[in-house]
Amino acid sequence: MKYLLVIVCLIQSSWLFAQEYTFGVVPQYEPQKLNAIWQPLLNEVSQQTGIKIKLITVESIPVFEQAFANGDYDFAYMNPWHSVIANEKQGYMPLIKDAGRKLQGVLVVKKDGGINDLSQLQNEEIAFPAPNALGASLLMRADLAQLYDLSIKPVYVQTHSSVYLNVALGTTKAGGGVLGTLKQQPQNLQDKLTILYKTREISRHPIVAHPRVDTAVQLNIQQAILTIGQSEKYKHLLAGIPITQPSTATLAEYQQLTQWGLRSFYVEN
Amino acid sequence: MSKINWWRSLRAQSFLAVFSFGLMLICLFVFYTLPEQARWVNDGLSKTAQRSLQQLSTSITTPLLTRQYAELYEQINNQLEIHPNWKAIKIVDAETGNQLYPLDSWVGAFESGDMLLSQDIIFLDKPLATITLVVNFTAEINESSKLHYTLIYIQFSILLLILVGLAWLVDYRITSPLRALEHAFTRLAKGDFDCHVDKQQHNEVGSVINGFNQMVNEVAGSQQKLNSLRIQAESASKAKSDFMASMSHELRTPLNAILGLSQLYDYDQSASQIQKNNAKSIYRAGEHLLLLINDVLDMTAIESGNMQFNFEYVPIKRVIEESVELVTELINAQSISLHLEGLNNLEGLCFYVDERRFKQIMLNLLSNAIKYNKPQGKIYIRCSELNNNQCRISVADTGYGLTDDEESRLFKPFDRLGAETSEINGTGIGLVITRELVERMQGEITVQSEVNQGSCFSLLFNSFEQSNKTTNTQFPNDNALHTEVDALPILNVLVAEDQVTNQQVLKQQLTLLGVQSTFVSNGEQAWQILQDIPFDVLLTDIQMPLLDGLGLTKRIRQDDRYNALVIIAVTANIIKENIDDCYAAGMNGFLTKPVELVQLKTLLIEHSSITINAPIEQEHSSASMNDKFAQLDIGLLVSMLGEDTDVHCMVFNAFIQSAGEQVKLINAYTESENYVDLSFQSHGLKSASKSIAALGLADICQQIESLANINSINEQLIIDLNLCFESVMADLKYYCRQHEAP
Repeated sequence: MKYLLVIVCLIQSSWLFAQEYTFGVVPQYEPQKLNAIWQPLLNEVSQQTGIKIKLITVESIPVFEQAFANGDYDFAYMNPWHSVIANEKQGYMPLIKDAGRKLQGVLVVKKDGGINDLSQLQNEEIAFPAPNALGASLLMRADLAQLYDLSIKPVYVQTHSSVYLNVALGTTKAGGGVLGTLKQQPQNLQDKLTILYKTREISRHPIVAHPRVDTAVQLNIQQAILTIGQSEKYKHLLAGIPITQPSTATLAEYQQLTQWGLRSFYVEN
Repeated sequence: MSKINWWRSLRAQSFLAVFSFGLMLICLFVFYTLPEQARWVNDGLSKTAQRSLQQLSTSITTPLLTRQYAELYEQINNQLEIHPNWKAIKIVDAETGNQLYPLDSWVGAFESGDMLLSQDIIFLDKPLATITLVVNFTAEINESSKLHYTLIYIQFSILLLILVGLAWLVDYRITSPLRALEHAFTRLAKGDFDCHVDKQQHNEVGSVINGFNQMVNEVAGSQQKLNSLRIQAESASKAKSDFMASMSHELRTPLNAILGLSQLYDYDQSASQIQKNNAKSIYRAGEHLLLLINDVLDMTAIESGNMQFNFEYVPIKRVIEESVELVTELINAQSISLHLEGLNNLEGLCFYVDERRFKQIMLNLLSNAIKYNKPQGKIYIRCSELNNNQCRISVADTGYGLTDDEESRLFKPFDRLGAETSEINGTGIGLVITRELVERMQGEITVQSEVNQGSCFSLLFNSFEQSNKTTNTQFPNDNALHTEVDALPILNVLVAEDQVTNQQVLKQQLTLLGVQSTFVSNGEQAWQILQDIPFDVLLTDIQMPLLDGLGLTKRIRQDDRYNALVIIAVTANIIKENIDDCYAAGMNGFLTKPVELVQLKTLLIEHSSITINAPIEQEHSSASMNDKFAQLDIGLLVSMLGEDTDVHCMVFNAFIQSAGEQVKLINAYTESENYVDLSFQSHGLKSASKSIAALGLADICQQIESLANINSINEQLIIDLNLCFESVMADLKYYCRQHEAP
């Protein structure tokens, strides 16, 4: 029996290792760009672990949301709030996070626009990229509603740049964004804006694994990415994602989003 | 050839036309086509830009509505990037008036060439925003202009080539042949008939050249014909002139006799009054005939261009007075009154004319005024000095006047007005001669006339102040010569004359003049004697045996030793050619037979340098010569030899001794029809006859000589000669008996 078990294990293990795993990526960019960013990393991971990984990209966020809700992906890279939802729906577990940076929303107003207190924004239009944008929209609206008890009229303008432009052009009194995208705006635009408020911080996008994937495989992959993150030679493969400093992620650090009351702001498709 | 101004030449004009056309084209391109092109390009581009703007505005409607300004910015930036001529875009919100684009403040300042396009963005009939576009198509326009310039440059170069080619073609095919023709015409005008132009073209120009060449040939042919006709005409005219000259001469000789003899009646006590009157009529008729002959001679001289003028400053007043004096008698005879007006105005003024010819003019005009006047008519001579140093002298009559037609025929030779009906005598050449004389003396003659009122002939001459001019106060006048000159040089004269009679006459004349003379009978003898003895003057006959006068003169003139020798021809031929021959051979002077004493003396004085006092009394008188001789012109004889009858007899005796032999010889040569010797002997006898003033005999001799020269004999003339000779001999012998006896 003991031998039999060993044999079964061996067979199982070889079957396990021969299997191809899917890897879904949130469509932050167009598929080509996503391929260019992710394929070298996944190749390296496969190289190190011997596990075959297939990159899957989709056209839009809703498709992506539907896919991970159905449990289509063995592994996936998604935003923190998605990881909370994915955990609830399919039991996806965070494996890797970026320890180098935190996610934090910023509220910008027009410089010298006469607004220097949040209370001045009561019942005013505030621009946001989209309802479910985590840092710029969900975190900010949750903060403003729950921490400052502000009632605002959200205007969704698709992109961060549009948010900043709306503020700069004065079509909305304020706008929600994130520090990263704000710093990417042209200097003349940045010069017209000032940050009025910053939200609480949250860990950035995790890589999650579906519970059906063997724990050994999960661990192998987790280990491989951590190794890559520490290797000077392969570090650049993570820079494009971007993950500056990969570390082990826990479910708990993302679940606090639920406590912050984001659910009531999340719009399900 | 008239010089063509360069800008009028066909060549310059064709090039100028090409240049102007080119300039016009350039102006058209620069001032019309290019701006039009630029405007067109601008319009086209503007429309395109407007369309693009419209598209843009459509595409940004959604971002505007959804306030997705990032997309808006991206699209606009994108458009600005792909349209380099879009300089700036502004979007202003229609509702709030806020500037949505650009982020920074709008730069309103435009560059030159900037254009503003604007478009309203409308959604569901509600204006959303206004989009304003600044475009500048300068670069495009410049580019298109550059392209166009290149095109024009190429087109213009081609056009220029074509035009220059055209101009060259005009030059080569038209202007150059025309210039060649012009050159040829100039040569043709100068009489160069070898001026054919090469015909290189088979077109209109070629046919013009062809025509020109044909014309040259025809003109050359006509010219040749004309030349031969001219030569014929000239020789005919010369023959006529010769004939006229010799005719005049031959007419004058008998006239002398008529005039001289008819005058003698006045002094003939035994003649009745009727005879005297008849003689007067004969004299007047003769005088008129002489006048006519002189006119004909003048006319001949004018036609042959041999009229000689002796110009000098002549006081006008005196000449007019003298002219008037000459006709006074005639005027009185016709009971015409003559009025002189303004003559004193001419005091101190003179004309530069030949005095004799000027008098001839005045006399002609005055005699016409007398001839064609009405009875009891008047003649006015009006003299006036004009402002421009000219004097007008007009001779007006109160005669029958002239019609316009007559006036135009006035100066035509031999077209005597009213000759058919008038009883007035004339040749009809007087006025022709007058006008010719006036014009030769730089004057002007005009005529004004009214029928039945009279005619007025005006002379216009340049006048000069007398004080400045040395006038010829000493004018040739027979009387003056007789009284004034009484000095003759000591001269040693050699006479070469084959006729004994002529020798005698000349000997007597020279002796009378106190000149030492030596005689030889021909040129050879003269040449021989000249070798040994020096002479001052040689008087030589032209026709002589062995060596004639011309040959002798030529021989002498070839020898330097005889440079100082004065040679004077003595001949009966006064045809101009003979005179010319004499001067051409080197003779100094010329005497016509019969030689008058005064002429001989004048000529000798003229040609001598040393003078002594040798008073010679010259008296004019025919009164002592009462004797009448049919064949002898005693008046002429006296003028030749003076009044010394001894001298006359000496000459006559010489004639009596030698002439008989000559007549015998003439008869003999007539028998034997020896024309050469007959001519020679007749000439000799003629010469001798003239020396004794036997003009009738000389005349017959002349006729025989003339006939013999054309190998002909008139028997009657020989009979006349013999008769006349007998008569002359009788007269001579009678004269000698009368005057030698004591």
